[in-house]
Amino acid sequence: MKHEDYSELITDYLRGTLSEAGQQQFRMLVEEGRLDISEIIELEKMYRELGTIPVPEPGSQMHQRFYAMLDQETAAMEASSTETGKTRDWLQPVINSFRSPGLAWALGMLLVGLLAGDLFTPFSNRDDKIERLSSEVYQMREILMISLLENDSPVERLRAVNVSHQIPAADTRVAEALLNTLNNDTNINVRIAAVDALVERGSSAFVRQGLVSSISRQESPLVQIALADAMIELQERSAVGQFRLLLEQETMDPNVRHKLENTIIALL
Amino acid sequence: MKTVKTILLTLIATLVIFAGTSLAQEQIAVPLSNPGQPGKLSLKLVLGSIKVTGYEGNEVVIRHTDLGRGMALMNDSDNDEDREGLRRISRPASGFEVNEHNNTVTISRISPVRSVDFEILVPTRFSLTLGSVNGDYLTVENVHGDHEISHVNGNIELRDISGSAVVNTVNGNIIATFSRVTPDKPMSFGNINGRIDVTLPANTRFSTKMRSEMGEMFTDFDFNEQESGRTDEHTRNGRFRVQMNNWVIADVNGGGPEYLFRTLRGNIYLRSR
Repeated sequence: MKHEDYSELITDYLRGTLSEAGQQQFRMLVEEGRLDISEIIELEKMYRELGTIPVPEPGSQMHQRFYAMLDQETAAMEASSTETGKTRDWLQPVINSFRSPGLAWALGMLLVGLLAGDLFTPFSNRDDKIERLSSEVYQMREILMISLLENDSPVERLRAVNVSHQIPAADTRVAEALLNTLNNDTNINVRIAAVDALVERGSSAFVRQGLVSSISRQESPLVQIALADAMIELQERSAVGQFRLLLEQETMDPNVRHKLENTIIALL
Repeated sequence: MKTVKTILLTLIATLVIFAGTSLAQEQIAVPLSNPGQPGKLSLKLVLGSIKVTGYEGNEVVIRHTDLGRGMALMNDSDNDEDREGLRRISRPASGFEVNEHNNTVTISRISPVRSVDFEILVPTRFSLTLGSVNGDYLTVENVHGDHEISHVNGNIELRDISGSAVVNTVNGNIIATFSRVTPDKPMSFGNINGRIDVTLPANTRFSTKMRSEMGEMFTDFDFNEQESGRTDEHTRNGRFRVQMNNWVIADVNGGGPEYLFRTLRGNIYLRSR
């Protein structure tokens, strides 16, 4: 039995809108047993029950909620159209998750764990990479500096000495190059710049010793005075003997002599 | 009145002696391998003055004047009687050598005991390496390049030069006016006795490091002083150290390459134009 074939008839019957011809046909079908009466009764009962379910009236509350939702939606759309809005959108769930104390606690513990772990077994890989990169930069500067120091132009050599300020003091090759410049460069201005650059590396005993032994080798009073200032800055008392050697020269300019004598007094 | 007379007499006598040793200026024109391209000139003297001027030409023109045996001249106590009946065979010109290779002109082998003055014309785009120990002047005018100028006992004057300069003298003033500077090139000016007076274009970007130990420093540039000669540091062992030094370190027009000015006894003037 296919109710579907008579579905229109049945619904009309249930609604009570069956026409006379329909009523006859319906009765005939029931009598013939083509429509199961018990099923019809069941359907009738369900239809009545459906009618008793209350349809809620759209109250003022619903009105408010609708507009609140609308506002939220338009605000979200506006926000997502700007860059900050995007990040806020993206951050929102993260921020929300922190409102749940359990999750915040878990995240906190994870962080503590990571930090503690890093203390004992550092993320050596990453640090290595950074270290390698920065040492590569220093190496490049070192190569640049040493090749510039070979340049014929004193301006380029001055630039080389200035580059040395950006290489860490621990670099002995740079210190050696600067000491070599201090003792052998043909230009006095470059030598003076080398003195200042070496003072910055004065924490190294090698550099201090190089500066001290350079004093008596310098013929230019400009370099001698720069070295006198350097020795005072580094408080290098071992330089006194070298300055005394210099002062044995009779042709020394009286002003330079005065300065060097005062340097000895300051150092003693 | 008597002293004036003696001075006058000495003056005339000196003139006569100098005329006798021949003050004739000689000229050498050196052609360049690549005319129109920038070049270099190198000249180092012990005794004598140098003047180099840029001009619109393609040759290096060297004029030299032999002033005699320099210091030795003063020790010449011989009289004319000692030379009676003899003729002079010593050559007035001190020998020297000029080389040109790939636009680099080098004047060398100059006698260290004879005083020679050089007046040289170079094409405007030339880098100069000039040095003298004892000279009345060392002057450069209107040359563009990287210049290395040194003197020991004497002034240095650089007029309307451009490019960059590394300059030092012991006893003498350094006076330099730049019509243009090459950006990013450091410069350095140093002496012991004498002033340092440098004029730069007003818009030059540079960082200064200046010190006059016994003199004063002046400028009309806007100085943005970085540290006012004071460095504070917390050392590792928990000590605090403040160092006061007499360097003036400043950025001008936003900072740039380092220009070092250092003198023991002179004043430093840094002017804008």
